[in-house]
Amino acid sequence: MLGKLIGYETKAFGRIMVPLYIAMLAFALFTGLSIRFVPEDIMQGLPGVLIGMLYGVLMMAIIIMTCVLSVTRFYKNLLGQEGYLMFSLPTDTATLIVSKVISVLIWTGFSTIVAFMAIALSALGAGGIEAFRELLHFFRHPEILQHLSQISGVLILTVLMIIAGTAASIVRIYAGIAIGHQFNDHRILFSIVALIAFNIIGTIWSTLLSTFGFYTGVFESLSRIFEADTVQGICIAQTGMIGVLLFQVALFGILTWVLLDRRLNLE
Amino acid sequence: MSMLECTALSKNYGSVEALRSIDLTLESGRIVGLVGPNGSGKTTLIKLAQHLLTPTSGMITIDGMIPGPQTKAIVSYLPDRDFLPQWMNLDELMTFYHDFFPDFNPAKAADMLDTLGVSGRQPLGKMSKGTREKVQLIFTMSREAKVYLLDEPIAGVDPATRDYILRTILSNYSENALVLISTHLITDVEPILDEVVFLQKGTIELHENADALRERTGKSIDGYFREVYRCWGN
Repeated sequence: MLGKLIGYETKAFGRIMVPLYIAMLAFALFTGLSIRFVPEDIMQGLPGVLIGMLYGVLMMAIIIMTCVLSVTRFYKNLLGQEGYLMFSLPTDTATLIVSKVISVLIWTGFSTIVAFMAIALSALGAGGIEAFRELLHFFRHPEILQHLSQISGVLILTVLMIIAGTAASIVRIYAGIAIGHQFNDHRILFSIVALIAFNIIGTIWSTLLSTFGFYTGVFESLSRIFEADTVQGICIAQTGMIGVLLFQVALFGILTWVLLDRRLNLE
Repeated sequence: MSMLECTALSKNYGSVEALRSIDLTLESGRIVGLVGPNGSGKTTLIKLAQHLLTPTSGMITIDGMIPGPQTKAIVSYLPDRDFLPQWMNLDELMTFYHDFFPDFNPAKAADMLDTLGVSGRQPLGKMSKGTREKVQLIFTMSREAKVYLLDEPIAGVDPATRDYILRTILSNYSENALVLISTHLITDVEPILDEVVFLQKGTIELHENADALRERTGKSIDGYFREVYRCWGN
């Protein structure tokens, strides 16, 4: 059922995001080719400014639409009128919530990949295949490869941290929306109030954790490890951070589940 | 066989009591009218049966089970609003129902859509309100469910559509299924009812066989309630 729900979410996201991706990639290639073939004095004038602006607008549109859809798909599909259908499916509330979170992670990943591909396509258009050869040559350099292998652990943990951070942010927003829906009026306002409250509580919690780390000597031990082996120190700090983020995912996830399963208040 | 059972079931919204300790048993193979004025607790009872609400106290069971994923697999629910994704067209909706409801019968849905002349590739949001309501009912009745919960299926539609909806309910429910129709428009549904449950202010005022009620009172169900409760307005 989880796979089917993710597939359905993919359709809902895709009908809006895929045309944007295609437009972005096509325009990125066009921008690159313009830089390469249009005389420099024209590109430095109004046409160049317009191309640059449109490039930026498309990139922003992808980022904004990914964020907007992440929230509205939860808000409208589960707590709007469609919620009557979604909560009538033969599955449990937890599966519905998990499918939303995984879909957001997938589409955030797609948007990030498209953004990088757009940059690569403009570079390819501007510099031709030669530019790519040079880039590949750079990454094949033995010193670069050695350096990358040394920090591979940090790179993997960074990716995991970004994934855990995105999941924690999105589940926190879902919990805020679920709290807002406990009220019959001004639901969006109460959702925002809940999110502000989460931020305040989060700040207090971070301060308490820092104080705890300082007085128990955790920070000192970490800094000794960091001085002895920087990469190992970063890895330990990242692992700790991922643990904290996963704890937040669990905490806000359970709160969202309780509110949607036991105190559902559909429109 | 008991298909829907409520035991001392209560539901409060804050200080408002929507349902007050109701006891109710509904058997399979029956079409039951859940009637009562606006705000009497009809929609609340249906939402509790579908786990869209949780009881304040007491218990409700469907086929002996507490409402949850297992009961949702055997209950086909028609809410009193546009609940289908408005961006989907009929083909996408057909795939959705086929994917998520194992008891969905696509041939039945296609046949009903064809009979009604509902076709095209436009999304539901672009269809007229009447057509959307027909589509919703067709998909609800195209499941081979054990329980059909129909919340105000005829409210706000023209008389021709009303007739179609009632014919659809009569000709498409599984014979061993329970059909619970919530409505405040008794006259229109009366001909198809086997039983009637009358709710008022969150309590069951009456639960009786439709024919027995007519025989006992010498009146139509609608006429009886108009006279006794004087709270009707068609």
